[in-house]
Amino acid sequence: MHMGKATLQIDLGHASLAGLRPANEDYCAGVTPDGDALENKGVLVAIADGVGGHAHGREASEYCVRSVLSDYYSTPDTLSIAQSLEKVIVAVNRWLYSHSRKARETAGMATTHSAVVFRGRRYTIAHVGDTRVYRLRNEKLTLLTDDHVWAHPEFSNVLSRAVGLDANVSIDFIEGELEVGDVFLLASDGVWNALDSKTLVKLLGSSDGLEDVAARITLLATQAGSSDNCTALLVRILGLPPDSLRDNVASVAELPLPPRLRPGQNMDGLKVEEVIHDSRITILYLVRDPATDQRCVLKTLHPNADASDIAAIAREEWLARRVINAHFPQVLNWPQRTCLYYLMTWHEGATLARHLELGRRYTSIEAADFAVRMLKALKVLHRMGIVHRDIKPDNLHLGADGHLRLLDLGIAASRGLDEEVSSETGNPGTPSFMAPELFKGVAASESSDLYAAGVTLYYLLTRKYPYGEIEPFQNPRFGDPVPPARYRPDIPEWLESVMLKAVSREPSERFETAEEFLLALERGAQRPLFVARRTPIFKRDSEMGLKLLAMASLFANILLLLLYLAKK
Amino acid sequence: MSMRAPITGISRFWLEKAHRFVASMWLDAPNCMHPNSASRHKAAEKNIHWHRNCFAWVTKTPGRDNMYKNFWKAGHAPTLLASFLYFDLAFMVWVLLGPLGVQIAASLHLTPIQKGMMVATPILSGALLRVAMGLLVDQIKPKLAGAIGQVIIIATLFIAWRAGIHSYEEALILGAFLGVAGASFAAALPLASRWYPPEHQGTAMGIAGAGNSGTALAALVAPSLAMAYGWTNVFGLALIPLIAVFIFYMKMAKDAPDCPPPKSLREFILVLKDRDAWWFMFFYSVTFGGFVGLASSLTIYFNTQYGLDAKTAGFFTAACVFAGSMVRPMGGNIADRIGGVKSLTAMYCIAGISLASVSFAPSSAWAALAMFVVAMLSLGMGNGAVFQLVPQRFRKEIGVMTGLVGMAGGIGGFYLASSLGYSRQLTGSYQAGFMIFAALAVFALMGLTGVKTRWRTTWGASHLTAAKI
Repeated sequence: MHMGKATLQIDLGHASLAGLRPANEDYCAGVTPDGDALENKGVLVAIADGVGGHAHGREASEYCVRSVLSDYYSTPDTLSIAQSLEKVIVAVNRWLYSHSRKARETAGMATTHSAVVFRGRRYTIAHVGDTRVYRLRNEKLTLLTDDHVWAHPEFSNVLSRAVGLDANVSIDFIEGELEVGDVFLLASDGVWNALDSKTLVKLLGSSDGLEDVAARITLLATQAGSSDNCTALLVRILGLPPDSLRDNVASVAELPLPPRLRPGQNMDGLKVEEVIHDSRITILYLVRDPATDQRCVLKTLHPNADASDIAAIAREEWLARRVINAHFPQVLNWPQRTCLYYLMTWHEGATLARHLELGRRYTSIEAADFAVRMLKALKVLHRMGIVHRDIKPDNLHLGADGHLRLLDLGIAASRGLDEEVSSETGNPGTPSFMAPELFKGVAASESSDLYAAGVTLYYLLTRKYPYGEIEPFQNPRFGDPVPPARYRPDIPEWLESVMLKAVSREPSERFETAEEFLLALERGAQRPLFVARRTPIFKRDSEMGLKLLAMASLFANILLLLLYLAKK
Repeated sequence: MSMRAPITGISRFWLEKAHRFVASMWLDAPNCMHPNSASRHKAAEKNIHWHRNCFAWVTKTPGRDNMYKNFWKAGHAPTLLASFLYFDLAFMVWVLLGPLGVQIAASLHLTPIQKGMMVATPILSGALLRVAMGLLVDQIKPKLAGAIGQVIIIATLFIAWRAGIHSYEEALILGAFLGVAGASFAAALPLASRWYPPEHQGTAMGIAGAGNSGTALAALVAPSLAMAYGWTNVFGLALIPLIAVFIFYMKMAKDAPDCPPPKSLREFILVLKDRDAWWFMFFYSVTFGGFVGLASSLTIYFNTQYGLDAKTAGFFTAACVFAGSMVRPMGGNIADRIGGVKSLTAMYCIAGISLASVSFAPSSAWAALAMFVVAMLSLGMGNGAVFQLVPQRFRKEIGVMTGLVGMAGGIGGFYLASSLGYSRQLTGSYQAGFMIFAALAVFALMGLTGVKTRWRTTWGASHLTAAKI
C-alpha cells in the first residue's frame, strides 16, 4: 500500500558518555516505525536527564523515555501529537511523583525530558527541564526550547520544572515545518554547557554519518571539561512525503465512485435490499452478505460527487474505524471492495427524530435518560480528541435492542487528522444545533458539541429550539434562551437548569466536559444547579443598556417639554 | 561547571515553595495568585491548555469591523463607480418604454394588449440576452462586453430618435434592442465584483446593483420630457448621459487581473438538476418579475385606470419603483439576520395580499398607490433576500446561477407586463392579471415550505467554499 510512495525518511545517531560522573543518568532512545504507524504516529525520539540520589536518577530518566516511547504508539490515532504526548508524559509524571514520595532514598527522583515527533512534514517537541533541542537549517543553528531552571544565577542549574518533581507537570509544546536537510540535536546539559554554538554548527554541518557525529560531540564535550553526563541524539531529515491528504486516507479516496444502485442489485458480492437514506451528497443502502446472511449498511456518495466530498467520506471512514465502542455503529472490513464506500453494522430501530415525527412524546425522565446515554457516547469521542459537530435527534439511533447509538461522523473533526488543516470558510453543521460562537467563525470544540447535546435534549422535550429555529445562511442574534418549562410545564426545575446551562450563549458558562454534564444529570434534583433564567440587559450588552437609558431620558425630556408647552 | 545537586527532601520542600511563587507570576491568570493548592492545581492545568493552544490557533477570517475598513482599499473603486453608472443608465433605458407608454400608445393608437406587449418586450429580450451576455463576458472580458452593449444601445436610441417610431412593429423592434440594456447585469456585476476578494464581493455587488434605481429615474423624468419635447426626442435626450457615462466607463473601468474560467454548458445542466435551482429561479421570477413588470406597466395602469395624465402617472410609478429599488439591500440584511426563508415568507405574504387587494381597483388613485408601494417594498426586499441566499446556497455554481436566476426574473417581468395588457383587453379590467400574479406569490410560498424542510439538514464544509462570478 505504501510501496513507491514517498514517506518521511530520516537518519538517526546517538552517543552518551558518563564523563567525570560515576554513573550515567542520561537516557535517550528513538522509534522509527514504518507503514501505518509512521503515517499516523510518526518517528519519536526522546532524551532525558535524571536527577536524584543513588541510581534513582538513571531509573527516572530511563523509565521516562521507555514509557513515552512505548505508550505514545498506543494512544488513539485521533488525538493530536501534542495531546498524545501530554497524556503519556502526565502519566509518567504521576508515577514518578508518587514513587519519589514513597521512601527517603527515592525522594527527589525526577528527570528532564525532551521528545520530538516527526510526522508528515511537521515536527512537534514536548519539552520539560533543561535538556535542549536544536535545529540546524541552512547552516543556522536555532535553539527550539527554553531551559526550565531558576533565573537566579546561583540556582541556574536547579530545575524549575521536571517530570516527577510535582504532582502536576507543565509541558512546553513547540511545532514547526520540516525541510529536507534539517538536523535536529537533542542534547543534555553536559553537552550544551561545554560546547558553544560555533562548534556545534561545525559538528552538525558535517556530512559524516550521524553516529560518528554524535560520538564526536560527546567526546568533545567531555574534553572541553564537562563534568556532567554527555548525551547527544541526532536526527537528519532525508526525505519528506508530498504535502497532501494522508496516504491511508488518500488510498481510499482513489477508489472509483459506485453507480447508483437499485434494490436487488449486487455490489462486490453484497446484495442491495433498500435505500435507507438519500441526502444531497451521501446515500445509505441496506445490504445483505449472502454468505453469512448478515445485514449491514453501505455508505457511499452520489455518482456526481466532487473531490471534496470524496475526501470527506474517506476521512469519515478513517475516523469511524477508530471509534470502537458500543455507542457507535462499527465499521466492517470488506476485502472485496472495489468502489468508494464503507460498510457499517446495521441495527434495527429508528432515530429519535423519526420517533418524534411519529408522535412520540417523551417524559423528562426518558429524555434525561437519552441524554445520559448520548453524553456517554460523546465522552468516548471527546476522549479520543474527536469533535462530532453534528449532534441532533436525527443522529441518535434508538435500536430495537434498546441501545442508543450516535450516528454519522460525516463532518466530525479530529485533531489527529486535521491539525495541519488551517482554516475553513465556515463551520459545517445543522444550523439550529450550532453554538453561537460557530457563526462567528470560531472552530468547533467539545464545548460546541455539548451545546448541541443540550439543544437535542431541549428539542426532545419541547420540539422547539432554545433560540428559535435557525436557517442555513442566517447570521443569527442570540438573546436569552426560552426556558423549556414554558413549553412543557412538567419539566422539573433541576432539569431545566441543566438544559439552560448546556445551551448557554457563552461557552464559558456551559458544561466544560461531557462528564460534568453527565454528573449534573445523574445528580438530578439532589444537587440542583443554579442558573439565572434571564441575563440583565446591562450584562448582555452594556452599550445597549446605556442606549436605552439615553432614550428613556430623551423621551422624559420631550414629555416634560410638551407638558411645559401645554401649560403655557 | 554544571553540577546538578540531587534534590533532597529539604531542598525539595524549598523548591516547591519557590516553584509555587514563580508559577503564579508567570501564568498571569488571576486565580493562581491564591497560594492554596486547589487553585494552584487549576492554574497548572490552565497552563497546559495555554501551551497546547498557542500553536493550535488557526488563522481566522477577518471580522466584520475589519472587513468594512478594508473595503475601499481592497478592490478598484473607479471600476466600481463606472459599473454602477453604466448599470444605472442601462436600467433607465431598459424600462424607458414603460413611462413613455402612455404617449407612444396615444400616437400609435395601440390596444391594451399591444401596450402590454410593447412594455414587456424589452424585459423578455433583456432576460434572454443576459445569458448571451454572460457567455460573451466569459469570452472577451466584462469591460469589452459592456462597451459593446453600450454602443448597441446608443446606436439604437440614435436611430429611434432620428428615424422615429411609426408603428407597433417598430416599437417592438426597438423594445427588443433595448433588451441589450437589460443584459447589462451580466457585464456590470462581474466587472466590479471580480476586483474584490470573496468577503467583499457582496458589498461590491450591492453597490453596483444599486443601479436598479435607474428604473425610478426613467419613470420620474421621461414622461415630463416627453410632454415638453415630444416622446421621440426623449430618446435623443437619453443619449446625453449615456454618451457621458460611456466615455467615463472607457476611461476608468478596468478588467480585473484574474477571472474565473468560462462556464460550460455542462455546468448549466448540472445546476439545473438541483431542485433548489428551479425554485430559486421561480422565487426570483416572482420578486424581480413583479418589480420590473410593475415598473414598466404602472404608468399605463394609472393612466387607463384612473385617468391620470402621463406626467402624474410617471410620478406615481416613480414613487413605487423608488420604494422597491431602495429596500433591496435592506431585504438582504433582514434575510441575513432572521433567515432568508423566513423573510421571503413574510414578503410573499405581504406582496400577495397587496396585489390581490389592488386588483379590486380601489376608488382612489392614492389608495392604489399606497398598495402598490407596499407591494413594491416587499418585492424589492424579496429581491434582496433571494440574492442573499443564492450566492451562499450555490457557492460553487454561482457564475451560472446568477445568469439563470436573472433570466427567470426577466421572464417573470415579461409575463406580468404582458398579462396585464391581455387581462385588460379580454376581461375589461386588470383584476385577472393581478390575481394570477398574487396566486404565483402563494405558489412561491408553498415552494418555500418545501425548501425550508429540505434545508433542515447538515450543511457540510464543502458547501461553504466560495467561488467567483
